Amino acid sequence: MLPLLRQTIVEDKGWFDNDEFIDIVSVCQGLPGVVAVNLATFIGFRKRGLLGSVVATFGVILPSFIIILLIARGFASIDDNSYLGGAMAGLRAAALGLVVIAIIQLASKVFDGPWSVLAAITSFALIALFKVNTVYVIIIFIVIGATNAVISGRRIKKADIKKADIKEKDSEPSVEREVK
Amino acid sequence: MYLNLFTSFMKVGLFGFGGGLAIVRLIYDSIQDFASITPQEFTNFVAISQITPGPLAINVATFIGNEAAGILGAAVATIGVALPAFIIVSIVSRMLDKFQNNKIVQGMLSGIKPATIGLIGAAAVTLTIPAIAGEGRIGMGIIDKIGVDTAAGIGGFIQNSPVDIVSILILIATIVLIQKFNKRPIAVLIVMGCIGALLGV
Repeated sequence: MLPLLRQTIVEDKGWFDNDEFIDIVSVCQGLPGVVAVNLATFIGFRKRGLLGSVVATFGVILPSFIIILLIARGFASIDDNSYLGGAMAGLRAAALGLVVIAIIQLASKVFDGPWSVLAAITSFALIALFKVNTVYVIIIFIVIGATNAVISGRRIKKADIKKADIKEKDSEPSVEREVK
Repeated sequence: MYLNLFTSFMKVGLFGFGGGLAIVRLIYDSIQDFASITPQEFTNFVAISQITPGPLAINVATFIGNEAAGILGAAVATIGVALPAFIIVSIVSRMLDKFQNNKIVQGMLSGIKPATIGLIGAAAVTLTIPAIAGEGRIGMGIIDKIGVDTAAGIGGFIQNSPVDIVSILILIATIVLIQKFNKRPIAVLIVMGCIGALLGV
């Protein structure tokens, strides 16, 4: 999907240059929701404001919406067909395969130490074993990430202050006192 | 029903971090209270959504909305999942630089990233029983037709096994073809669907 988008937005339409496009994609992947919808909304908004984002989003949703409705109608009309049943059973098994592959590929990208592995196992256990609502689990991990950032940010600031203190004492102690 | 669909899918749009497959379990959890969709139906929706073009979450939302409350339900669910994007994106796009450089925002994102793997793992659990031990097993009709003695031999083994052995073979073949041989996922899925159709249930 992304190569197609890049082709349209960067090369054909020239709306954004390649760096801007990469920036926008990375932000939209971080935001919650459907990445394609985020991208359409973002690009529409940047180009033509709120109306632009509404139009772009409808553009990206509408084809899927129509295709799925047609398929759902088709399903309702063919009941209990051995071939269709077989096709669906094959597809279900293959779909599970895709999910397993997604886990393997994501794990090899994201796992960078014991904490990330522990976080993945914890979120899995909370949802799959302890049946905690997925929304709460997501909120928990967002809060953990934010808290971690605040704490490590403070540590850096403290370290900076200490360094500044030392420098102050070393070089020009009088200036600060005069200001005070 | 429409209000339920709308609010549930808005929740999905608001909290669905990590892209398509990570959202699957969130969708499943959100609809449990009001929609009577069996795990098997849900797995069918996810499976079809993976071979149709367009975003997975939008496809699944349309499917579930349609199943629960017809075409209007589909529209309500789909708009619900897309709506939070407007609010969030219109805020973020005004301060793209601040957003990218904000330590707390980056902390939130790095907190959710490894958890995403757990979310997808939970989605896999939801799909497992319908995928490898669902109703309607592949190849049963053929085994009956060939007239294999169901009490013994391979035919009997496949028929009496607690899990669907043909489905497990398809699952393994899918993983190997995509992961080891870099085949295109959609092509592999279509081939597996065709194999299932040829064998029947």
